Amino acid sequence: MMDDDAEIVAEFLVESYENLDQLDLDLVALEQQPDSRELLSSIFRTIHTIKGTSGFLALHRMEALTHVGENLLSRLREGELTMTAEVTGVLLEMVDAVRTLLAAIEASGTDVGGAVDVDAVIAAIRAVLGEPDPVEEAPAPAAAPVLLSPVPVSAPTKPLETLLGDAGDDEAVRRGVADSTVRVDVNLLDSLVQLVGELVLTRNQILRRTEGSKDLELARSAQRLDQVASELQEGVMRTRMQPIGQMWSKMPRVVRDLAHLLERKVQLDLEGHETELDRSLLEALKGPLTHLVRNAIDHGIESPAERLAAGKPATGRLLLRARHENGQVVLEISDDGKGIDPAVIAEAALRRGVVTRDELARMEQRDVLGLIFEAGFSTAAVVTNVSGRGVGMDVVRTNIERIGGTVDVHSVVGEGTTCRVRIPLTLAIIPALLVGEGDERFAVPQVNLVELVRLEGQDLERDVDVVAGAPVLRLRGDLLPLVPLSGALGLTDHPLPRDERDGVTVVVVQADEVRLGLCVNEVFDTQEIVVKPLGRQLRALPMFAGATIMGDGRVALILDVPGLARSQGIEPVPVSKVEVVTRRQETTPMLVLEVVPGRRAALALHEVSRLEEIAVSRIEGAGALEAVQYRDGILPLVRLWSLMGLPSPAPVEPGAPEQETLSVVVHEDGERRVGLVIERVVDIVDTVLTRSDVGRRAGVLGSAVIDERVTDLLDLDAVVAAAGVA
Amino acid sequence: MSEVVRMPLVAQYCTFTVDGLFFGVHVHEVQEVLRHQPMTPVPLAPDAVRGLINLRGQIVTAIDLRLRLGRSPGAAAALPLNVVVSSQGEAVSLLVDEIGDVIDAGGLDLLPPPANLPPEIRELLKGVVALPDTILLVLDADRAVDVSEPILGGTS
Repeated sequence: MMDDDAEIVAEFLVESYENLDQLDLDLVALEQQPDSRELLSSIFRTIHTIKGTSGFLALHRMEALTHVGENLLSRLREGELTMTAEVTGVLLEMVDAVRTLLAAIEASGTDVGGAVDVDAVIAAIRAVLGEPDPVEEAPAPAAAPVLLSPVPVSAPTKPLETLLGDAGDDEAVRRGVADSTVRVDVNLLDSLVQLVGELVLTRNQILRRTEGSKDLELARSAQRLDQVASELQEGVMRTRMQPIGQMWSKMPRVVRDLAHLLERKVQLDLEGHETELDRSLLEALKGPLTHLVRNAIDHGIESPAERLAAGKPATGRLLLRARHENGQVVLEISDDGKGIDPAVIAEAALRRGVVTRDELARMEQRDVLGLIFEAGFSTAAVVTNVSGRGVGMDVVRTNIERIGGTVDVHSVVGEGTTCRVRIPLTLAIIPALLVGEGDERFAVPQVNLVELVRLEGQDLERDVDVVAGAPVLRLRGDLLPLVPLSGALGLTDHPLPRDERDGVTVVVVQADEVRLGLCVNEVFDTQEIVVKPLGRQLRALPMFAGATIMGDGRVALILDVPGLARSQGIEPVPVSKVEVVTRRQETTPMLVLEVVPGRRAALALHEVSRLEEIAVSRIEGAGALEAVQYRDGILPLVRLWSLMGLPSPAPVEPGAPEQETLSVVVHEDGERRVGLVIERVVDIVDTVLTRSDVGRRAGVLGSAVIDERVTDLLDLDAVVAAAGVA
Repeated sequence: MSEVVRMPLVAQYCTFTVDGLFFGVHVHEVQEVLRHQPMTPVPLAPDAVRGLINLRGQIVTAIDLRLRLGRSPGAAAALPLNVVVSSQGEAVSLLVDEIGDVIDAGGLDLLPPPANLPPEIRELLKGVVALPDTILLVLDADRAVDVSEPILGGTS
């Protein structure tokens, strides 16, 4: 908690120093144009911000000072006072005093003490304002905010500088907070992101070219390039990333004010400050998130009396949580309030004409709750200052969808409500699955990917039905609408290859509340792709989200799953139903590993006996039959890349500095014992394993979507056979 | 990045032929001229959109000028060339049969297109220049790349 506060203080300092520099300029400019409303407003806002934050941080002297300063500015803004040299003088004096206080805060963590006589400056401002008695008036916010997450009234336990890195003792050498960060033009960052995108593409092209090359030097340089480009890409992406703590830090104030206004008692808890998010997304989320927080307090948390009557503690709890999950950022806003009653929602939706009674009768409870996101919906009996005008949740949803995110709501009457917002981590470079149709390749964003299904012969006959011309797939008790990609794109007009010998590969995709099976000719691998916009001639096409450039330099279109579904007239399916189906299945712990850099495979964890690092010098034998002495026996080794027909990960030649150790996955089953040589272990993932025959080949049983990536599933029997073990 | 000094009195045109017609585009509208590029077709796109090309990492829409001008499609084996123009800040490629010289028509007036030209062509012209030996059709690049006709169901 203390660290968080210190972070907030540090951020406050950076922000305030910058504001003050601008303030000096503004004040001087104001003297030249005393009636500039714009300048006055800008100055007012700056001082107001400093005042607000210092109030929150319990910097009372700063607060008192900026409070009178703000009074003076508001009088100026209202035109009750005019700018004179004297007024400018006291304002500048105030700015100087603020600056001195900031220095004191930076040094000691509090605004107590310091070399500045704040009272004298306050008195001078009061004199200009014509306020006679400086002693009597104490600024209102002195009453401590009672029920918020702890506010640092005392100094942080750690002096600030220890949090700011290796600051020496020498005062003069120590870098101030403002110097340790650099502000960079967002446009410059964007163009860097663009350039790195180019670099990544060029790298992909070079890697492709070097794959079959005999030139070892070249291959090595290419690998180095690969590594550097990846790190650079990550670094540049990270420059655009900001911790969500920035937004969290503004929430205590919002909650406090609202709780006060609505006479609620609210305890705010914040989790996941360090969760990072692209700054443009962070910006776009501010509005929707604030709205959800307001709603939670206004509609969720009851008054203390109601809460006590319901047997709950008088103080309601509001929890804001951020985390990364499967390449997405998930934000949760949960309250322990009265929850949302579907009956009330249904009633209000009927009254406002959002749905008809017929439609309502066919809806599931979960969908009913989703109605709060419809335009024109509101249950508030009274329109308050805070909410109830029936605009809001639909705007929240629109804004979140605009940045590629989704929002949904869960609620239990009497227990509380949770809104969950999911947003893609970055927009510029995304992992995608490449699929082939005709001569062309198309990219399916990985966030949309659910699983792959391969249907052949009898399975195809049994599981696919065509109902009134619409092909559907029976998939674990559900009916999944099938969309042949070639048909959806107007390439052919027959709905499905009814020629049973062909078989069908189905890519199950999901977006928002739509789930469908895309029938494609071929499935390639997963790649990081750089999303590029389409020209304006093509923006009207809903089924494409953009285009990207492949390793061979050709352009591939990126499919927009929601757009594709819409263009095919596929209606949203209740997510709840879909989720229930998924949840019922059992998860299997899987070991995910890299066979060669960038190429993943997985095997069930229970088949893994141990993970070892084995020194290369211990390897005996050669060629296809390698082994090491291991635990009183012989462990045959299998180089997995070679078994799977992948190119050698690194050129190995006599005399070249070779890797000293190999990562080996040991599989033991009675007498059967084999070591799989891999690049590295990626992760252990608990996953619902839906195996598909897609990608079946030597050493590979098929594939499954693990961690949103299409991952090869290892065929251990083949591995064992390759090792020559009985 | 700033544009080269423009001399308004000197009217330089980058010339090319499409289905035997002699066209020109103001040089300052032309970004570059490229030989045939591999193209990725865009399903369901307007007919005149032949595909997407990779212009050094930028994705550029290629417009088939023959179709745009209501002419017959080129031979299947023909490899059209790319005249990349910049229109409203976006690079768009015009597919043409052959590239001609850059000619200077300074001093010659831009005349309105003759009234008996087919309307599909007339609509896309800024005007014509009567050169001593031939007539140059001055293409309005902005209009030529504007294929915002209603999107049709398919290209087959």
